[in-house]
Amino acid sequence: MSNFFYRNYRLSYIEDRSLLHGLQNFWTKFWLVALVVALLLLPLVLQKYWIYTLNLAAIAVIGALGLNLLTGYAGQISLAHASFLAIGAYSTAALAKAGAPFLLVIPLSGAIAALVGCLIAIPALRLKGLYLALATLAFFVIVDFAIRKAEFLTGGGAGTHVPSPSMFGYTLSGDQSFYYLSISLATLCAIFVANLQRTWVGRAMMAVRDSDIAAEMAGISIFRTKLTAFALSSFLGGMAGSLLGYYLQFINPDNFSLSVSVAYIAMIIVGGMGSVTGSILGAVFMTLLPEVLRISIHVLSRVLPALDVESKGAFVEGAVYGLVIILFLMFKPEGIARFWRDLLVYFRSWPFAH
Amino acid sequence: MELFVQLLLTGIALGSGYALGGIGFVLIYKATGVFNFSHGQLTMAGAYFFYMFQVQLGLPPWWSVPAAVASMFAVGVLIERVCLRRMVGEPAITIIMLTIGLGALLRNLVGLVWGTQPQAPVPLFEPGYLSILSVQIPRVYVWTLVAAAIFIAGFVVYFRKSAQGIAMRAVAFHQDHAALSGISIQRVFALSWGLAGVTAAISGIMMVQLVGLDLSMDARGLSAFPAAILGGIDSIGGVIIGGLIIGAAESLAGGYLDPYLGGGAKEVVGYVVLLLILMLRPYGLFGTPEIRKV
Repeated sequence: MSNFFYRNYRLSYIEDRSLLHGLQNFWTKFWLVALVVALLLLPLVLQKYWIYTLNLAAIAVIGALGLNLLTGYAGQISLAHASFLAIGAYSTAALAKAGAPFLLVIPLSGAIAALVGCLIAIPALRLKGLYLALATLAFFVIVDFAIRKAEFLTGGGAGTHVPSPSMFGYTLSGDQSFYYLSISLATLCAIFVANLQRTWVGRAMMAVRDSDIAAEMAGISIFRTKLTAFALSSFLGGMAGSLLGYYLQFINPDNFSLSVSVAYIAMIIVGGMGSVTGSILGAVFMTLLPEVLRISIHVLSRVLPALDVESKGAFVEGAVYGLVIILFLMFKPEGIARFWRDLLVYFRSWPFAH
Repeated sequence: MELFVQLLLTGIALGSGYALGGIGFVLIYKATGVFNFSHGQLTMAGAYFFYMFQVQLGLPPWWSVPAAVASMFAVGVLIERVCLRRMVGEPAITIIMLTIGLGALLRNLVGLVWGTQPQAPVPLFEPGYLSILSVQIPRVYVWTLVAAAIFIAGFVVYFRKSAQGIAMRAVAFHQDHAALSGISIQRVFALSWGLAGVTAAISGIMMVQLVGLDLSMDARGLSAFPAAILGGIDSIGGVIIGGLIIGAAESLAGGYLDPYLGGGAKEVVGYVVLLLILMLRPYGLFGTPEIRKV
């Protein structure tokens, strides 16, 4: 029982190199296993609607990981994340209609998005900060325009149908089976990004973020690092879009509006920039927030029918959304991830908290 | 040829609205270093305030203009006081995101108060056509252009001659030196946001005259981005010319390209220009080149 109390120092190189710190402790392992079991069992006990929400949250986690890679790790602002989701989703529609198996379609859609992502990286190599934000905004508007106009491929403004994910005659249908697909992909992506930040590539990204001149002096190719960041970020975005297309089964340009880009930026800000935990927590928080709001609006309209909040629900949601972004930026700029870490530290060091 | 002149003139009228909106943007950027992504929503809010005073509260049409302008000045100062003042010195992405959040908040508040229905304020100018170069131009366009020219001239004189305008330019030029010579930086910041609210209100009211009032207006307010970047983000003169060019380009693209593309070229052409200018000359036509090689 020597590992019963929390030990936050490492005794061996294996412990030091481990992906999840604290695995030497009994309770860390316990909670990890509990989390995995809970994630596996959740769809068996939840209502269909909540499984639907969880699916959207898992998809959002993948997209948020992608954006956090670009913005949080590499320091490049992007307002075009919705475009990469759109490219992934429309590629999925085209590939799935051709009958490709879904395990191939999802990474392939990601790869197509990554190719386009390299394209936007070209102006990004010269621009930073505000100008980059504007360039990605312009890119978003142009992609949106192209999608609306390329009717033969995308169905234009009316949208297009996406067949259910299928492979070798087996079709994945229903929220429950989709849940296992999305949650396992989200886990894979989270492990991928967590690993990436420990490698040379991830560290190069952080170096470029912190000071590009110093990074260049240290022998890091800024061109290659930014290109990798854009490619990987849009790859993850494309995969999220692919899953979203499969799940919604019908997509149109309104699914990928500018507010989607803003929502993803909100996720990584609320969650915590440059943190895998932050991406996950932020994505789940921002997906659940509208649901919680919807319920509270419903309750409020019962209590105070005179206010007529129910008919204006969408605006109340949007306003709270904007308010959450502002409040987090002003008062908790490090996001929920920081809050989570402080909470853990408090409980670990209890009763010796200082 | 007649079509060309007509498109050009309507485009310039629309562009004068963008130029006026763009001034608000450049003003904030120059004085406080904040690039205000909520400018489109500010423009929309200004237009809705105008509608509220004119139709809902029944002020005489022309009296609603100063009323809307004054309220937007207050909104601008409020935003600076409550949000932006705490954020001095934060990294660019934080401030950009903050203004995006502000935009979302403003847009939804406007929707909450005034609803999704398109509204119809009373036109300020009498309808009808004017004949210029044997082309029929709606009177509204001409008057809008004249009004924009007057306001822009007013702003330019204000910046050059008034003590406040000079103080604002001093702060934009060098913050520390301005502070050392007794200028209150905080007051200048608040004033910049207030004046940005004023320009947003005026350009919003003008756009209402040209295109009507509904919740899609914030997208039009965004057209001031390409205008500001094209002209040079820190140049008042540049943004005026940039606005006129973007307005003309949008109008011409709408007239000549839309028949082939089936609509929508108008909205995208400004951003194509924006992307090109960012790749070729990021500091715009008249901006200060910021030499930085990475």
